[in-house]
Amino acid sequence: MISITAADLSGISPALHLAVAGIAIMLLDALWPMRSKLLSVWITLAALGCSLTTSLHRLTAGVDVTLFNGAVRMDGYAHAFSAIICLASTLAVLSAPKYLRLRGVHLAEYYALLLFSVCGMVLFAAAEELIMLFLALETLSIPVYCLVGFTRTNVYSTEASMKYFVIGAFATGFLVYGIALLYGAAGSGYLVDLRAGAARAPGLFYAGMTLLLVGFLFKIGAVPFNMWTPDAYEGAPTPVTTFMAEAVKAAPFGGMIKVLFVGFGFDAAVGLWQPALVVIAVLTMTVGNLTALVQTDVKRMMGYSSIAHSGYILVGILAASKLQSADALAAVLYYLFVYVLMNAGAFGILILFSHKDKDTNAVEDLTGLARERPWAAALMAVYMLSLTGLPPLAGFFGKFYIFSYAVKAGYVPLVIIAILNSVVSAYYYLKVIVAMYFRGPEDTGRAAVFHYEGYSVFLLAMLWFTAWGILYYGIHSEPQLALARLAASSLFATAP
Amino acid sequence: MSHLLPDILFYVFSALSVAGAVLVLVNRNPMTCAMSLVVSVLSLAILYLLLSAHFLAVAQMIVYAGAIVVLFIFVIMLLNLTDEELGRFRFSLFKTIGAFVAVATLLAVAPDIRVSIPAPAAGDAGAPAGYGSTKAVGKLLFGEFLLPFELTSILILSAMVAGVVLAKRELQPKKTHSLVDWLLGFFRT
Repeated sequence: MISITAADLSGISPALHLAVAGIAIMLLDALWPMRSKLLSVWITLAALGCSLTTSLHRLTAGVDVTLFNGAVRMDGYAHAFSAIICLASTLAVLSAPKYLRLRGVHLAEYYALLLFSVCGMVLFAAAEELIMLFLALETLSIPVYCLVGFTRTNVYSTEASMKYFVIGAFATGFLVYGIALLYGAAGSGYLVDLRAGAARAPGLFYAGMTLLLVGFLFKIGAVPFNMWTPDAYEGAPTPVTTFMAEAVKAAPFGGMIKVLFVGFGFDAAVGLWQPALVVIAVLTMTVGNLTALVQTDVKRMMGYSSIAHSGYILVGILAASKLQSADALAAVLYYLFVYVLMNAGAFGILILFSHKDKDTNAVEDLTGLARERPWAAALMAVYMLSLTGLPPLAGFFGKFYIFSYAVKAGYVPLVIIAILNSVVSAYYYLKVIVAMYFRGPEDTGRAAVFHYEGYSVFLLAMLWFTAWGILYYGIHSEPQLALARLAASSLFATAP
Repeated sequence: MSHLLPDILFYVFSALSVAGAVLVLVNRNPMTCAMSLVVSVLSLAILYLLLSAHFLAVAQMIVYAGAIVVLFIFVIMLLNLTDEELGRFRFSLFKTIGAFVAVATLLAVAPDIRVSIPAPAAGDAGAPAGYGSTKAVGKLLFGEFLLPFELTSILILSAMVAGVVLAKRELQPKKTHSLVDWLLGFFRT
């Protein structure tokens, strides 16, 4: 008795495209290894494009279906996350071929693993049930452990992969234990039923909630579960860092927000997670930013900066949970969208000037970039200023919307801390701009060479698109916000 | 009378399972740990049997007690750690905190465990016929849990590919003619 219908398959197509493309790439590589590399790039881009357009189309059409006996629900929320993740992954894929080819590891498996991971991410935001949630999280994590160690001969890459794997597996242990306890408390694995567990078996419920939250906070890299982030970011091949900093960063929020809002709800009796998240948000922002100040490696610095940004996003989630308004949650989705653009661009510049034997990673490596490559320096300046949150760039509007809803929700001290943190963060983002524009070889005593080794149209397209997006979607944020509102209201329709 | 034997078995094997798990934690010798794990895992399998989950019990024995513990033992024997390398047991702040957290969690959870088990209805005759059989599990896997089941196959596939990528010796394919090249050869002429 196989209960699978055409409606099920069509409903889940954003994830299905990706899984099928991943398998197709592996078959292609087995049958035709000499030609499979470039073809797999195109197959990957096509699959991601299909998923992106399907998700966007269904989001605007207001499709809302529960599939596979309630295992997943493809509503506006799931489609919005699917669109953000597919966009992020497309940008990461565009940055990869040149870098991997130069290092002799341009393998078709890279794209297959990436697609499997993205498939897990899409299902993670759609999961309605704890088993599904767990499997989707594992599907999104395990390929990334391998991608981090993809340049196998590089000691740092292998070390980062090992660290990330061990700590990730440890976090998964917490998550599974939490799931088991919550299932015991609620007597059901469906998110909507979890809340009932608080009255039925409070000890089990709160222990389970804590463990589940610890698992999620590991994945988003919140303090005090952030140890893996800088090491994994620094050691991974830069295109993989790009993927981690945007897609792997945004996806866990999809499942986390859903579990918090739909599973645990906002009742004071059940909503004990809110005060805990306030403390974690403050710690995450502050520790992330202060540690980023002293970094000299751009990838490592961006790792700490991504921790700090997790803190800002947590502020947005808290505001949305207090106000229980779709508008506030839409601000979080918009922030994730903007965050994806800024990060992809910043890492893209590092990839642009990375050579066969040496990566451009240190801030010092960018010294004098503006004299030799004015356009590249200008793009990098745009990304850095947007990450700082300078108007009229998209990064400013992302922060502005989140902070203004947080003020409306009454989290004024939290917003003051967040704004102070943004000011602190300006120091290390501007450090990159100062190195590019106001310093030359005479300051560092060694001349940096900036030439494109292996010209890549993909990478240039990615850089120009992200820069355009940051400039355009900042001022014209209304269409994106409208889509995000549509997504957020579909989540609140199911929340208590 | 008929309930006495299962009850006794339940308590014996629950105790064994917990004792095995505790021994895994406190033993210094990895080989003893692995053997304690076998005790714990096999006792769990018996508990599954007592709950009439036959398929699960067999799967537990084959997969956990068989495959996974054997893998552990392989790794332990390959590493072949000496007593000096293992070090002596030392108290540290983290271990103490960890023990406290574990005990606190146990105390918080313990009173609720009874609540979380649904009470048997009056005149409950136990599991229905065929419950826990391979057929029943198969029906669940391919019915209610079809999507998680299929996602697991993608998960395992990607884990396998990941393992091969990280461990394989040759990165670039040899310049041999593949099946597709061979087929295309017919069109070139």
